[in-house]
Amino acid sequence: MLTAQLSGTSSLHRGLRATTVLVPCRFKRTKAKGSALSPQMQRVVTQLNVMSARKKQPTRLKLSSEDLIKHQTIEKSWKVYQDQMVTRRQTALRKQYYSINEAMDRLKELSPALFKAANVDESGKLFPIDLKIPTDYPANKIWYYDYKKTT
Amino acid sequence: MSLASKSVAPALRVTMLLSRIPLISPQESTFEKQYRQYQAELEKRLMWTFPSYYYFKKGTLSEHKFLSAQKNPTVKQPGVWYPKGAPNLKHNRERSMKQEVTLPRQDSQDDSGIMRPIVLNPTETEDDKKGILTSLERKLRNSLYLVVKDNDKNPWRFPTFPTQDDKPLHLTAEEGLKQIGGESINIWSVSAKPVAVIEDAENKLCDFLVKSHIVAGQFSSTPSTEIEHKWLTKDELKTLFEESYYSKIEFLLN
Amino acid sequence: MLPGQLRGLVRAKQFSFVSTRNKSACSLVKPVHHLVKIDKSKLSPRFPDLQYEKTDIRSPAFRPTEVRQDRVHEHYLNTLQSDLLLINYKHNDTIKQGLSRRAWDESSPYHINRSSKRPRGSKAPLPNVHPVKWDNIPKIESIVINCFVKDARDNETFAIGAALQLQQITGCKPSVIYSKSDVPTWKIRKGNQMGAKVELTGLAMNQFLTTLTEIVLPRIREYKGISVTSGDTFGNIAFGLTANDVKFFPEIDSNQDLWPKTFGFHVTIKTNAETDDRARTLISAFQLPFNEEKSG
Repeated sequence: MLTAQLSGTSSLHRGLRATTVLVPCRFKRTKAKGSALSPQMQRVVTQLNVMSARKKQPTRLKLSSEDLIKHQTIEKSWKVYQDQMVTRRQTALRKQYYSINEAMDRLKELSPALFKAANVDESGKLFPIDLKIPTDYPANKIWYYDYKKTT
Repeated sequence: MSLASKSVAPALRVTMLLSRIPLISPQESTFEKQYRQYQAELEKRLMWTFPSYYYFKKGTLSEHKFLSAQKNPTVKQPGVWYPKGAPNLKHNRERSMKQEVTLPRQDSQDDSGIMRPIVLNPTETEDDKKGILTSLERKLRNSLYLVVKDNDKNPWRFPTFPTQDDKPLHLTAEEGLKQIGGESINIWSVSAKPVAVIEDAENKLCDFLVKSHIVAGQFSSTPSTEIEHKWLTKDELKTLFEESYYSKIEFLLN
Repeated sequence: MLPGQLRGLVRAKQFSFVSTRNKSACSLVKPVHHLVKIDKSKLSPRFPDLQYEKTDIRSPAFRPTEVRQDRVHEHYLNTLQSDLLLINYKHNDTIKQGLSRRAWDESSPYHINRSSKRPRGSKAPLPNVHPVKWDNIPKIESIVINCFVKDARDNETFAIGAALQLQQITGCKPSVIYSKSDVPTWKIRKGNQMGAKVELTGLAMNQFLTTLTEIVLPRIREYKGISVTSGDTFGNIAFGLTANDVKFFPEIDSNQDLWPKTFGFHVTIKTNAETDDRARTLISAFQLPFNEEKSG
């Protein structure tokens, strides 16, 4: 459909060029016949306009050298802060890993039966769906107290 | 001496590290808040112009309402000097600044029922203000851990139970917890594996820690058992436990 | 003669005169410089701003990423990471070697410079599976939304609608997908626009994930969940949403008159889990429901 429209306009241009060759004078700007788009095509054009950057982009940031240094300082400090957080978390996780390792070793030593029960393959274990991701603000009902065991 | 102490096998126990996960996201530090605000302002400045023609059809009432709610930027006039640079408008947006899109206010008469203003719930709950430590609706930003105390002599501890023959540790712990805290609790054990071991050489005790989360329900100590309980954050546990014990479990808490 | 000596001789012969002397007009060695794409805008001194990385504020492509607190990521760091470490722990686990290509035994001179054999039982080599430790805990790396519209072969405006739909849902710029080859039976011609796709990371990814689990999936009638058999064996899980399901996204739902036609899409969750089982455990932690019946 779109290609049909485009080929229509190009044939229109060809016609105009032909007229300029024949009559070398200023031609009047008129509304081309049939150039009004159908509602469906108008919708598609609007959709394309929404996605395209044309006429929508703001001017680029122009930072003075002082502003640039300020920005780079902020970014650098954030990076340092993030690195500290990552190191802290990794240290805790490494401790946890070796702690699990130690506990399993000790369990194997003290009670092979309990070790066998603990060392089962848990691949594919699913988290319960009720364990919700924390929200930014609390829900109207904060905690679900009346849980009844269903068998 | 060490050989003699090793020869007597310690009594195995299982300790349940039952936690209520945070219900709301953690408190941002001042630095985090300021950095994110800075980034958000940069994002708004670099954002494309809002394509209002897509959402509000031309000639409709909703378009009129929307357009009349917008603050129109200054248009460039010939022969006028602008101290902060000449206006550069495209699609009714000043290109060198962020675009502020204001939504038209809803009329209170006709459709107040549809668009009510969103009221955010307070992050500090009633139980926080009253200081009820047995409640699950406190310190929503932190993880809470269950600690119990069975009589006045014993100190506060995580719930601990003796192991049974070859029953998996987490099942023993779940069963034991339901015996002291009632059946109306939904807990999910993270794994059958212990997360840590804490040995008490003096009393010949060996505690294996298993991790689980409370999903719903509550710990309600029955009057017959007379067990007290508290839901505490990591910082509160630090003051509750003695230093030697806390240092062994600190890395497991958050 | 020993194979090693033979090899040395043949190699010397081959490279010294055989291949080059007899064929003067063509090179047997493929030119490397044609394989390396050169971005000429980077070479030119005319556009110094293009030299900067995208994370640099002087680059035209700069876009801030950390614009607000990410509650999903915070949850992952606070709670899920240590739980996943515990669940995936295996005692005394070692690296499980994947299949690799097999070398020839050099019993024949023709083995020299011959490309190695493909692994037994597989067309391509398979990656190793590492035990989960503190530094490789499974995490979601990105989410790819792929919207292939079959009807776009007849009406290419559908591909535009699909792209806009993805842009509205995710807030990220989608890229167009084209049909790769001519398939006469399906009336598909090579190079046609057939839809759109977008790869989400970071904040946009987590935003999409929570919208999906908290708003869209609960509203789908009789939704069974993701099939437990889904997965590409390397820890990437995929599922689909129909055109009707897509209508529940708030961006589409609040502008229903703009969306007389919606397009279903496939969602692929890419993880670094290395196996599907680990990936399933990880994804279920974000409240994506799984259909545990094997037949489903």
